[in-house]
Amino acid sequence: MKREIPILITLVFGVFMIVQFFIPHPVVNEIANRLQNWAIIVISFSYVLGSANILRINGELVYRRGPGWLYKLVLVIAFFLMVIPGMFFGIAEGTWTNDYLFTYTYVPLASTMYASLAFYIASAAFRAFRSKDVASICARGYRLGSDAWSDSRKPVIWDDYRRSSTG
Amino acid sequence: MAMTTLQKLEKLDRRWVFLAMAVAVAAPLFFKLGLAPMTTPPVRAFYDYVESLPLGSKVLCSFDFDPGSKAELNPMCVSVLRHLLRNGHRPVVITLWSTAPALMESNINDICRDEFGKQYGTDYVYLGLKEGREAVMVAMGKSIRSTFPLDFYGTPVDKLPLMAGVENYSSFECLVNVSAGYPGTKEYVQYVTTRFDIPLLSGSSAVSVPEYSAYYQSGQLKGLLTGITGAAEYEDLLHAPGLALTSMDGQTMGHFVIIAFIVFGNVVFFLNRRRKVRS
Repeated sequence: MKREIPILITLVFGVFMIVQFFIPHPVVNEIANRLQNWAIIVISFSYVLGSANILRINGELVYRRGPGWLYKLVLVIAFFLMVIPGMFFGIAEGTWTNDYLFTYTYVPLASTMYASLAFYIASAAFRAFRSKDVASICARGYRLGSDAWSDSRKPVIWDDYRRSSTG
Repeated sequence: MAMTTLQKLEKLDRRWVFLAMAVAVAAPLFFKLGLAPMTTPPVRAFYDYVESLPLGSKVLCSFDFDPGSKAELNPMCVSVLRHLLRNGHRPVVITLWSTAPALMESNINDICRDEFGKQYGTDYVYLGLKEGREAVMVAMGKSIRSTFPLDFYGTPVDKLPLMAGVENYSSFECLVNVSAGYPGTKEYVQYVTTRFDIPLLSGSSAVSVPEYSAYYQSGQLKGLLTGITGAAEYEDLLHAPGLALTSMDGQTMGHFVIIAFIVFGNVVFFLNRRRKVRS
């Protein structure tokens, strides 16, 4: 029943939200609006649940000195380091939380994670994109050739552009 | 000896690949190539749509991305704000991504307040984050005031002159969404554009473009900026070179390195295979 009841609730409300779209009646609309507000509240609470879950799972591993417990400890410390100052000082520009924790720490770290993809793509391209027969050589050659052709018609030089735009 | 070298090249340590990529991406920071793309139709359509808006239009901007996508999408946000303000429009900015509010505040302060000297509350408004994804999108179709009762700074929206008369999507001339994924352009198309009849302009990361191009071709998007290239094209149209045009050099060099390694890998592979067949 722990599985069935939540699924049943989801089914009933999901079907209602689909059906209400076709019934332009004030009462039905009012119920739908209320349900939407509930959904926003429930989704917001999922953050609280998620945070509690992170602490429970990682805190337990740190306490038991489980595998990778040092990394988990860093995660838990970083969690409190972001949440507590954020709650007390806010996140607006000029606050310690925004400037030091977000702008100078989190933003560069997140950007670095994303940027590191370029290195792995280059490495994977070198190792994996190898043509084993004539057909794959033709396909790959066509792809590279068409890209090069379309690119060769694209670039313009800034300085030329500036010269032309300034007359 | 030559054969041994070939075998070594085939199993080239990937750290050499990393080094080549690092040099290719970093070198343009010191030696500018000045590459800029020609304008493509979706970017031209985006630009033309904003140009066609009546003076003083209220435009709802939903900027939904995290710091990981900042390099690719932030130049779009900056250009969109610059374009709207330059044409005398009034942006109302929101975000549906929990890691975005501080990023957006920085953009808004840099462009609206510092660059254009606009007045907060009268010329632009920042409503901040509302968690709830699609539920928020649909709720704004009923009432933006009840969905966002306070702005980012905690001021009641009733006290902001720009928000006077704003009730739902019909109060805006169009919706501009810059997104890195979910929730973003796809959800706005699914839940908002047709149902609430609001034109949607989109800027998205390059990986999302194959999916969103169909929306552009069907007319559900009035314009589409595609990754850093789209942002560079847009900056070019605005005659306001910025970070996107600068990034084009690094991105182009990075692409050259990837192509060079594909060709190199194949040449070495074939030479090795021929050697094995002969022996």
